[in-house]
Amino acid sequence: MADLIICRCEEITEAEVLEAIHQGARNLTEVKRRTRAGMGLCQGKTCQGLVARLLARELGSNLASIAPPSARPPTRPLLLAAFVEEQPA
Amino acid sequence: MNLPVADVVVIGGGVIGTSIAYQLARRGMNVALVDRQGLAAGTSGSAAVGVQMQTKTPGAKLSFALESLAMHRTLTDELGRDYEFDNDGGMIVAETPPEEEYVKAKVADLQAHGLEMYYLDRKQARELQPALSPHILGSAWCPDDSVANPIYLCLAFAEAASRFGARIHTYAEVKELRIRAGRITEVVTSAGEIAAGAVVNAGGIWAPELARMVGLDLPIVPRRGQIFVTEPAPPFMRGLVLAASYLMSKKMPSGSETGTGGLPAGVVSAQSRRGNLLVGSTREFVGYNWRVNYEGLSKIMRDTARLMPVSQHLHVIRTFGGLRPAAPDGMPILERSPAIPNLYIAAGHEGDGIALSPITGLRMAQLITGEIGEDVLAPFASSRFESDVS
Repeated sequence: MADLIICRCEEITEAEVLEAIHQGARNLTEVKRRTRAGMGLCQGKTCQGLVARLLARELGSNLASIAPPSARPPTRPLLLAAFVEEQPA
Repeated sequence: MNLPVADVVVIGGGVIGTSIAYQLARRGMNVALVDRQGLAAGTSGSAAVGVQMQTKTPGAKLSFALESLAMHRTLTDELGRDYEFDNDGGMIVAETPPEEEYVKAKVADLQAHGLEMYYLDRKQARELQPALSPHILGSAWCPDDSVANPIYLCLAFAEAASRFGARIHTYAEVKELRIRAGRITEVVTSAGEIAAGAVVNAGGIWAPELARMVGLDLPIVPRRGQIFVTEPAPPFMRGLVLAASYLMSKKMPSGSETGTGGLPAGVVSAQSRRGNLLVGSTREFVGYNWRVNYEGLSKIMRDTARLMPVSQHLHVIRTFGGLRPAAPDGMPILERSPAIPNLYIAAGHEGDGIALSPITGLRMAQLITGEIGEDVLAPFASSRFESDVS
């Protein structure tokens, strides 16, 4: 299932995620930096758990030990215009 | 116990350290690179995309940047990895009469120093960059300005270094730099010790911490830039668009008021190959604080929407803060340590690391192997700060 899509937004396959882990990625952020998995429109809401499971399996570690990436705003895509309307008085 | 041995241990897995490791390894040196995290985990992983020429101060820095740009132009083939280097030019846009005056003076100054530069009036600027708002007054245009993906550049250097035999040890945190008879003999890390012929401090914002291990001071502090990224969109921009207010805010101390109000910040924007609009940045001195905040982000968002109204229709998907290693005069420190003869320093590139990494790696490797003398890098020696301290 090497061509199984893991990150739908950026169209990243399982093979690409595995390659990144085998090249040294040890956490979700490193997989993201190397493959873009989790950098798309949903910001990893769909693929984060899948990537975490691949990391745990390949590194031989407990799923619970795979730390979530640092959370930053926005929680969901937000129109840029929303920030423009809120002009200071 | 026999320690692993390296001619040179490079500390720091960002674009500077990996570039130096690559140049040393291809010269046949036995190189080990160590980083306490993964590759591109610090500044290189949270940088903007600009490889800019027209923002460089004429003199040593601009010359260095132009030499580096010449290397960027062939580096993709050399490293064997596409790091999304694109030479599409860049603009500095003026929105107010003082900004217009500033940009015109900048164009004239850079032209006098040999950089290809143009001043475009409103009509010309909007023909070149149709997304610009009709209220702008004019723009500088620098055809040499370029963009690159900093993470891919860092990985490209590291992979090429590995092919030439460099050993890359990630998650190896430096605990001690052991000194005997005035020279560093071993680099002690959380993942083991390496006997070192020479050591390079390419620690970026953490370079001062490494320097302190051997009793040295490096005048480098983190400068935060907050950045936001939108969803991918079809191409609507050409190259880089900077607001003149961003460059003018450089002259202001953190916290002072700029023309547009609030904290020092301004638009530096480009579209990635994927189509994401990436915009920075604030310029804040807040220590080792990577967080983003509403004040900083909303300011550059409003500025972006004003400069390129079409951007208001895009969704913001991600924000992040990056810390840039800033020296007092905005120039990197590149030298053999005056105090410890087998210690080299290559840090303090602030926001110029992506642009300057190819030439920094080349010159530092040449300095270490003795191909060039220290005089070549004299403008970047830390002794330039000494007159201030006395």
